[in-house]
Amino acid sequence: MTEAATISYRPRERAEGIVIGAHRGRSSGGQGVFLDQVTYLRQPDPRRIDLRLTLRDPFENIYVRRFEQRLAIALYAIVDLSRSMSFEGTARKMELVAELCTSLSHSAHELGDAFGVIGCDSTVREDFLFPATRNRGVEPAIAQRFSNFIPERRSAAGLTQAAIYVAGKRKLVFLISDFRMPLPQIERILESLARHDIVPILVSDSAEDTELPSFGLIDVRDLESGAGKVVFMRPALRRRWEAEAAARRQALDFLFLRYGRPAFELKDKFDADALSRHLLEI
Amino acid sequence: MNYMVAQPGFLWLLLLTPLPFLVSALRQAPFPSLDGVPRDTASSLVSFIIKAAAALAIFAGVFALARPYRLAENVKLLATGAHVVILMDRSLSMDFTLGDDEVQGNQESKTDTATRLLMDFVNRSPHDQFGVVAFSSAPVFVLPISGHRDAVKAAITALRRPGIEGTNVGLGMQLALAMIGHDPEATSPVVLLVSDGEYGGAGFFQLELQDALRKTFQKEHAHLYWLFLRPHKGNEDVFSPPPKGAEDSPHTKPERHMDLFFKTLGVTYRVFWADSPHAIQDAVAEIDRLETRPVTYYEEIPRQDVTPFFYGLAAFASLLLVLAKFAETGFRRPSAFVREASAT
Repeated sequence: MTEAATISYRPRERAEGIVIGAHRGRSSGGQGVFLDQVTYLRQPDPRRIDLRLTLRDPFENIYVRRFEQRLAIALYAIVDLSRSMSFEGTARKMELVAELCTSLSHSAHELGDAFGVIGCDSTVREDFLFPATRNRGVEPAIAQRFSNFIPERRSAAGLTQAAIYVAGKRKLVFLISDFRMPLPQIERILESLARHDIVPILVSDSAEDTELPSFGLIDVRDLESGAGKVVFMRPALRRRWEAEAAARRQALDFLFLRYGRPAFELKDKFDADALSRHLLEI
Repeated sequence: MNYMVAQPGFLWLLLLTPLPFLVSALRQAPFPSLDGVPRDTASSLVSFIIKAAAALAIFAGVFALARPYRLAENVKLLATGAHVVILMDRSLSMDFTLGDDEVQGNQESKTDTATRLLMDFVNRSPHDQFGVVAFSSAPVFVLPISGHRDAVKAAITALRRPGIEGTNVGLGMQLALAMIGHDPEATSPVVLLVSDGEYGGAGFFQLELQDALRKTFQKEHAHLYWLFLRPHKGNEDVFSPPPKGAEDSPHTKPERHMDLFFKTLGVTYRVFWADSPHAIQDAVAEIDRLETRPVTYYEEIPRQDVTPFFYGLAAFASLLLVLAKFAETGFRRPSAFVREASAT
């Protein structure tokens, strides 16, 4: 296995908690990056009296330096493990997801953050549950769990129950799915996770919506329901297909934006830099 | 329409017919969700056509294996024309030439002339139906009234056999009328007597027979035409009364008395002289003029094997399936390169 790529990320709001880490915290303390100076009355900490400012002040107030306390956060990857994720087009979706989770755990532990994985299909899978931990030893375990996993259940209903496992303080939650479910169901999932910083990762494939064959017969099998349908592919239908896929994508983004962030499209190949840019931009 | 199969055991395989509607023969392309596939009428149509073609291929193939055939049957056909019974004289005298000589070199016997003229007649009247009766001392049933040209021509050709002593026109005519009586469709019947007259005169003019013939002719409304195989310009006119003093009886002048008798039948009656170059045209024209009512007739259609039709149907359906198979495609798959790269 190659060394996992590092992903840079930043929570949208200041972290809370007590574990010292890399992210800007909500509380100010005695260590960290200089924040501001306040009067001694506001922060009676004689160890950090700013002598220069105190002497300069004509009103003879006493000033204390404040520092921004950097804190660690917890990251969770909530992974859709339903059958539709076993799609193989330009790439294998599960491989992309495994790569992403490995990189996330690696990056989180580099920064001293905790990382956990919650795998869901029709329920939350107890055998695919890695509670957030700062322990690096869990990284090979996660990679190994992904390597021999084959999605088999026909529903992703468990995604709505995953919120129970990420309860508590605000966390950075990567919601990794192909989002091939009705929009109301996606909205329920987002609602259940609303107190967290949700990063939707839309796992897609160009074979699904843009790199379609322009002519021929396709016997499409629904990976989840197993139902089949013969499609007589032709340029006109291909245009319609692409248009519908784009419209759905737009509707999804509209929905995701209401809950914080637009989706990052994990398409065909995992690009850690692109994900970093996406996470830092917003 | 009645159809039967020769090998009904294969019909159990018909249970396979709905199979294409249950399983697909196309290569399956897994896709995350059918919700992402646009609804398309043309696709549904093509899908149905493929399934139907597959079902048809199985259905027709099984039927072809069972070797279906259509039962022999009578078909009612409608045509305009007459029912003509050819009443052919097969007496010994017919084997002589028109001049009553032995046939020498490439001379034509009366039989040859008659068959030639009859062939001509059959060829010129495409919608008429023909029956054939031959007679010498006794009548011979040759061919019932039929529209089959080939059968009629074969029957006429078969008349070209050496003749037999004796000329019994009366019995032959009775058989011809019986043939007409047996055909309920013979609404405009014609008896075409082909004869060179009665040499020697067998018992034609029995009174009972005359009465019976007269009754039957009137009952059947049959018309009588006589293709008379004698030179027109003979030494004496066979139909005119004999010179004074000579005996005027059926024994001395049988043709004259036949003619007289025919005239008393009360039906249309004409004599055509066979040596006249227009004899046949005249006869055809006459018959056409008189007999143009629509006639219905039944035709026997033999049992027919329809297996090739079902094989053709199965082949056609299979061709559609092959085309579908050629048009088959799928979504892009991970290439070997990607697979290898991700494995490392």
